Amino acid sequence: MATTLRDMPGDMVTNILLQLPVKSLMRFRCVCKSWHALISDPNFINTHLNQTRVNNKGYVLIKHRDSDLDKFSLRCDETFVGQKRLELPFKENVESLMVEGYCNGLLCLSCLGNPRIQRDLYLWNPAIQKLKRLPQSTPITERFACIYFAFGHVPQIDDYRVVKFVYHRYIPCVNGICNAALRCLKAPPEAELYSLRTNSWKAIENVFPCVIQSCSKDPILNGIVHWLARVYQEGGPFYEFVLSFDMGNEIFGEILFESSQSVAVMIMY
Amino acid sequence: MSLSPSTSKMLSLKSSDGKVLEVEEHVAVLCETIKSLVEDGCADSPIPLANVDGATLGNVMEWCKKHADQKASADDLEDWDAEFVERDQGELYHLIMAANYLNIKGLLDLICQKVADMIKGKHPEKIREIFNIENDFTPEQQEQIRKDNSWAFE
Repeated sequence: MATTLRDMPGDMVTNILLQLPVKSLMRFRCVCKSWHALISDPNFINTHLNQTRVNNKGYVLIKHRDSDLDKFSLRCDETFVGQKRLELPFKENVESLMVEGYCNGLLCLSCLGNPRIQRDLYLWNPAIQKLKRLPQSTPITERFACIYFAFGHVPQIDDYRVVKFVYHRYIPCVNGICNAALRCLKAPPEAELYSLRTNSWKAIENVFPCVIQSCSKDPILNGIVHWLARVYQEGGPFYEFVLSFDMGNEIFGEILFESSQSVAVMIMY
Repeated sequence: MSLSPSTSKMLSLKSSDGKVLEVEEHVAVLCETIKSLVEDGCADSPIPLANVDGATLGNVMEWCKKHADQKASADDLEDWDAEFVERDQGELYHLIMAANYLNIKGLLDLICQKVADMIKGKHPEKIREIFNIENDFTPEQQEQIRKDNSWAFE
């Protein structure tokens, strides 16, 4: 009898499956138990992801503002055609939706929670249309608070993590003086770290007492977040620097500038 | 007309069914397996390739020859590869096995991509038939997986 693909050994089948698009893989999970296990395996998923990256099959994700709902669409990054509309799998508070970060095809989304000072966080994988709502972090009780999120992948431990920085009693700048700065002199911000592996939040100890000015929206490199930050000295001028936080080993760092330098734009590459 | 240097050393390769193929060394070393033999000075003539039949070896060397040609442009190679993979399942199977045994990543990826393109739109039932796989899910489990990924079945 002539040889066909029926005789293919398992490791060669893996090589073939690695070349398939995500939609086919999701469908082929019901072929048999061993295919299901293979396609769900983290090593397989990582290899498939890296291969897709090498083969340059990239997409541009566009967030549209329609009449009352925010919608997303995907386009090929080379031709900008092949638009595919993505429906968000939830409908509550969609008008307040923000993209807090993105990494390896995953998006970290936030939208107003209940009460409305909270922000609910979601991890969304548009390729497999899976949405995960993250557990609640410590609730915010103050009426005025300023929240910063950062989302990234820590390659050393293959974990996705979210950092949350909260300035309590934050009141927007009045007469050019940032009130958070004054607060920060007395009480540093509170910070928490979420791990997808443990699906839980924990407090970050010894938070660097400074005021975050902005966070780079670029993908986070090697699990290290960078913020542009200021330290205010009582009665004196502030100084500006780049605050880094390693989401893997939870260590803060600072990149100082010469006193004459100020930073307008920060780009990570 | 050969474009390769006339001084190129020739290697003899012997297939599982005893056929001997004379191949220029700079072409044959696209196979990492053969390259290590040459580098270790173990490339005694003829090199026995117990897992590759004569017809497949001929096809593999045809691919290597094209890809060893420095003058071929990327576009040219792409068109040539697209034609090269137009084969039946049996030939594709033998090419995958040979590319794996001879350790030619470019050829292995090419053929795997071809098979993936052949099967990507198919129904799971058809996939089981192609790869001779027994469905070991209960109907309930099967239904649950379908439900969890219903968009992938549209």
